[in-house]
Amino acid sequence: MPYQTDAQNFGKPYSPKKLVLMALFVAVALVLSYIERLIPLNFAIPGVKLGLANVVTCIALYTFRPKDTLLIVLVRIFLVGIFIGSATSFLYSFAGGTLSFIGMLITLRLLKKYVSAIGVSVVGAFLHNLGQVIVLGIITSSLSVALTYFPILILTGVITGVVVGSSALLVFRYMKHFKLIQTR
Amino acid sequence: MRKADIGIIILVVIIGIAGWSYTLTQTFQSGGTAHIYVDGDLYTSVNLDENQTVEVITEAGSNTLEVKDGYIDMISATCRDQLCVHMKHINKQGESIVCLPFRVHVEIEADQEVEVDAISN
Repeated sequence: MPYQTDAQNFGKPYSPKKLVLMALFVAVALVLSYIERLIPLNFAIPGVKLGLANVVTCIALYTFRPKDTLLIVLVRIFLVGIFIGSATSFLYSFAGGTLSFIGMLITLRLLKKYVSAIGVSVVGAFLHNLGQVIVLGIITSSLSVALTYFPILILTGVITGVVVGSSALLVFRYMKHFKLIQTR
Repeated sequence: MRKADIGIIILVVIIGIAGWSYTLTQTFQSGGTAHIYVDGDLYTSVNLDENQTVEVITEAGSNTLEVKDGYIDMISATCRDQLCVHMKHINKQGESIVCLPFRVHVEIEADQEVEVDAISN
């Protein structure tokens, strides 16, 4: 299989298994982002989302090195921006995605023994919304607009964060059962 | 669910409630002038006492706003997500309607003319 050796020799060596798994994670995140659009949660409050793609980020953080997880997050945001987003929504996801990635990574590093995927994903949801509110404030250049949405987004973020974290825990159980990947 | 999870959840909820109570302490008076901004710049201002329809036409598309009985509402927009159309109509100072795709937002601010009248009276 020439492609495998090519991939291995290209830049830093990624094992084919890891490469495929990372691509799979990106693909799942893409599909989840699309499904999320079909669920109209944002009828009354704009910007409220389930954050389903965060399930993937959460699992990736436990599975891959931080650098690889960041790659998965960035590729997902970029592809979602091309496929189903607009220039504005790309800005929002980029700010939210990178902020929540950094926060989740720090939470996991500092509180590794005391925190489960639920806490990590609540931090992720909180920072994701914070990033979006900051971009909203910058785009409208109005603090009051940003402040109006902040509390609602934060409180719904807690609920969706718990849901997302619990789903990640469920997925972990199956991944361990099938020995698909060894969690770090 | 571990110890730190509960701690994190409580912390975030406290931040949320703190933000919420901050917005509640802002005393909202109804009436005034609705300022319509495009990209952060003032596009036009409308008096909420006069019933009227306002069209905001930008390069990206158009938004139609309706002023009725002291309320201003986004009644239609050519954007894809239609979030702003679903938002509630507003009538209090400090409230806002935002259309993200077109970067249009409406904010109600205190009516300056009222103050002038109050002084002259």
